[in-house]
Amino acid sequence: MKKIKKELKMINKVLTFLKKLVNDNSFGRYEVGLLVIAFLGRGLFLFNRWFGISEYEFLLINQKGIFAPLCHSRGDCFLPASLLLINLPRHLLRIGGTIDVFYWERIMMLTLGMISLFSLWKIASILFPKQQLLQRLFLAVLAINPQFVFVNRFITPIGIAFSLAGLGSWLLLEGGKNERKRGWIAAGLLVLLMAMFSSLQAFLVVWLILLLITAGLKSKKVDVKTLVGVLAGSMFLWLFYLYSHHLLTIRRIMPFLEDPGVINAINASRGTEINFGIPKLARILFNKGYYLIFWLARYWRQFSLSNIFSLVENSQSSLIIAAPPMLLFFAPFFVIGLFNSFRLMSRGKSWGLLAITLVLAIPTSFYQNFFHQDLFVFALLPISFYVALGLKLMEKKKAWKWFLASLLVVNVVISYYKINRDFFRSNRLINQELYQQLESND
Amino acid sequence: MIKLIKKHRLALRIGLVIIVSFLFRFWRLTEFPASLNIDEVIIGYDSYSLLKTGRDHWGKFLPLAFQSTGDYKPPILIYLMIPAIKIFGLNEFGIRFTIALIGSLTPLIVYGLVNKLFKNRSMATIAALLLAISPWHIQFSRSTFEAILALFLVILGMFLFLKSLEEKGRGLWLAGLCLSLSMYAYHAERVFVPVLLVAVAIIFWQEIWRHKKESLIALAVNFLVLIPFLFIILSPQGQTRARDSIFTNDYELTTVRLAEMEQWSGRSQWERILNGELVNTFSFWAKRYLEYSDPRYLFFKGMSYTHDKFPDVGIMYCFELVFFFGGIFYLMGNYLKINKKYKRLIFAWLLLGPIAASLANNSQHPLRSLTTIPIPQLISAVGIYGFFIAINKSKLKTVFKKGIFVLLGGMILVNVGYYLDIYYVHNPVHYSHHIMYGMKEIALYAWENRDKYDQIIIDRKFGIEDKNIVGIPFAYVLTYGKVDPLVIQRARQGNKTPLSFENFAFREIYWPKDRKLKKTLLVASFWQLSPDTIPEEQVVKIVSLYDGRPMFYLVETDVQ
Repeated sequence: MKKIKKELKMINKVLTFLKKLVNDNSFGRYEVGLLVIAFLGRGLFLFNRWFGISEYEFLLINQKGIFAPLCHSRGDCFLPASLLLINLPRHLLRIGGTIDVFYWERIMMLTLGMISLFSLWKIASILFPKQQLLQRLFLAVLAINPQFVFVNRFITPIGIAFSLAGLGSWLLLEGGKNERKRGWIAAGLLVLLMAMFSSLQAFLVVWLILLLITAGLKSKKVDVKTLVGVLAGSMFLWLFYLYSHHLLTIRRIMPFLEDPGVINAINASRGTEINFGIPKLARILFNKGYYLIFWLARYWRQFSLSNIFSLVENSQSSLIIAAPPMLLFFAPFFVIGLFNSFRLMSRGKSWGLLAITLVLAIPTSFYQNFFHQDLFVFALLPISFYVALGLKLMEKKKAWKWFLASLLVVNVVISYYKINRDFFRSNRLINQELYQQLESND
Repeated sequence: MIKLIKKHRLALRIGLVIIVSFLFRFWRLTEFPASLNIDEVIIGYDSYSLLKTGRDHWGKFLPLAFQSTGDYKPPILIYLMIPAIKIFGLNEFGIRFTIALIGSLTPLIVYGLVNKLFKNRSMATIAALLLAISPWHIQFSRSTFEAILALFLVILGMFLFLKSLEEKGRGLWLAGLCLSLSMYAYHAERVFVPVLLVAVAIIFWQEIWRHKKESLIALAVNFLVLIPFLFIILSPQGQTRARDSIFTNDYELTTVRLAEMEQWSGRSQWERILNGELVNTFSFWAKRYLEYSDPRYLFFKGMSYTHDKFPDVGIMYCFELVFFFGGIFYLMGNYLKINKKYKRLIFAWLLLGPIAASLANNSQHPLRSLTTIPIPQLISAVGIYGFFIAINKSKLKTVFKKGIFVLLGGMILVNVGYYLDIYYVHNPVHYSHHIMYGMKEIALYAWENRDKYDQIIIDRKFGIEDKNIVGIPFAYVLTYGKVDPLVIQRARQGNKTPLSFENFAFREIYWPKDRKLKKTLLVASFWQLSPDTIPEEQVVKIVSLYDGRPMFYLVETDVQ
């Protein structure tokens, strides 16, 4: 007994130290436990070759240099700034070799992933300060949901952007809350870093709007000059970056604008209208304005519960191909949470803000092939929060607790089993033979 | 004038709903859809056969399940259509009239239902008008689909149920009767109604318990009405439809997933369970169910009037997207005076609506998911009503307020106009072959010229994109020739394969062999009777699709 008491005291001491470190009293043993679960999910078998290598890891390793440019099949090459960022310390420490690079990058990614998880929990605690259970449940969803776990496990621009975005948003919120310019500047820089990927160009615009709204809502006294200055500076540098790399064209950002299927559809519809004898209506009803409707349909289609909670078409190109973006178990809780959030909107701005964050799905909707499961991870954040709210509303139904917990366990076991089973079918991973070849070359 | 309007406000509201509803369902009813589809033509002829002989075209006396094309159709609609067939004859109008009438009356029942739920006539009017102009409901009201009748009975049943709660349980048996009859009207209701009733029993158990006597009477009436139904669904014939259309027969599940499952069958027991049938089937069903929440299906492309990527219409209008979520906001936010139990009923109905459709073998099926109506319209109506109230209460200048309403009205008009354009102009061009366009022309020609030939052979397979669409040309000949039902009944009893009556035969045509037949008219698709191999003088008629593409060739053999 004494030993246990001693150990408990030790745990308490560690917790007190952590609370001081994170400057938050709501950080307790549950949060630590959840972070440990998240760490295990992200860190277990991290270096096992069985899990494959993502295309980005491979490109860097294959070139044996740090600043190897990444080239698209269409011919243009660019330097993913995030990869430079995470490799810079390694370069300074002079850690070399193909496999060492691989280890280093994954450790960095894991660290960034854990930081982002913590940042997201902090954001939840700032936006919903009195709802500790809600924050915990949100953290729990982030900790165990496969899409979040696998985005944190591998080096991909999306994974790095996800981590930096989380951290940047937290710093910005803290800056807004405490009127600290440093927070805003740091946030702006992080956003800039995050933006330095060709595949995420459109994402930045959405993110900037959200940051402005968030800062405006949370700040006691908005320092508009600093905020706009930081964001405009970031934007300018980003535009310069895109311009210098010839990436600044609307059609490149929104490839569906060049979709021959849509162009043919507009022309054919016009023809039908003319044949019917109403040529004047043809131009009014069927013109380039249809792109807007077409895009709106694509944007909203992403929120089909079947896309979020069941297996997605074209998932071969995503990091996990045998599981949906979110566990099926969460589906009813998402609906309950979403519907109830409407009820809560009158009680605080934060619920309205949460609804606005669904615009995070805009960049995904621009992609030519429907739908980009990995990039959708940004929009999964508000969805996870609705799930957490739905779970919270079950709090009083204690009779259901064990039944629901067992369902969750079954769902987690099946999902992770299937992900592991089919891992090498993903187009984003290179095969095991190549990996072995690299290992033997090293 | 204003006084008069105020005095007769209710009559005006109902009048408006009726006019809009009838207009959208009856305007050019015989021309659009451009052709009677398979179900319409066979249902119409069975009804005609009942009228003339008291038997269906298979010769069965007053059946409760119509063998029809082998799918054992529900009975009520076929019996209900008899008066219209008698009055208007066996033609497009006669066949479509009954369902168009029932469809036109449904918004009125919705008015009553919403008024019972919210005690708000304005909201009831908006909901009824939304249903009156709903593409989802109009589409199936203009063709002879049993689902419209079943839906009418369900909504009427629920209206009578809510009414009976207000009247100490009086008339509960009538509500039960309507709901039971709906199960005779369409297959989807056979799954949906029992599930809805369980939800109703859970939500209103206190009220049901309070009116024990009335509830027991309703239960007894239901039981009596459903006795024949139980015999139908337990019989092998009754199970045919369920067996054919259940989702476990779906191509995706049976071929891809089960093949994948077999791949892992040699592994450990745990792996066999994790890759097993139960896990795969459940996750597949869940996907099918969740697909009904797809906003693209709901607001942009659900009706599939045109090919992929073409401008289209959802099962709800685009403008409803905002009001639908606004409606949920108002419903959840306690801004409206509504009984909590009614609120639960609305959400339960919304979630249970697609259950039956999700258990069938096609994804996103607007017809089978009609059971969700009128809840989406009701929620959108709440959103529109809430928006009006919010704007009226706001401190905006009157001019701006009026401007917003005009803008909203304009937006709705444009959206409705767009739908009408897609429905009347584009849909027939895209999918005329799917609704058997051209069959009428063939049937009329063949029937009028039947004396010229020893034999008329019509091929059942056709289609341009899909070359294996299987039609039922015999039903078109029967309908447009107004053939005496005794002729087909005798042919059916003779069990001839392939089907033939008088000098008509319905089988596959093989030109190299059939060209040698004497004095025969062959009717088949252009790819069956290729214009390259057939002498021009033997082609007596070319029947084109709606868009002008030649589809069928009518060729005579043994030309002198």
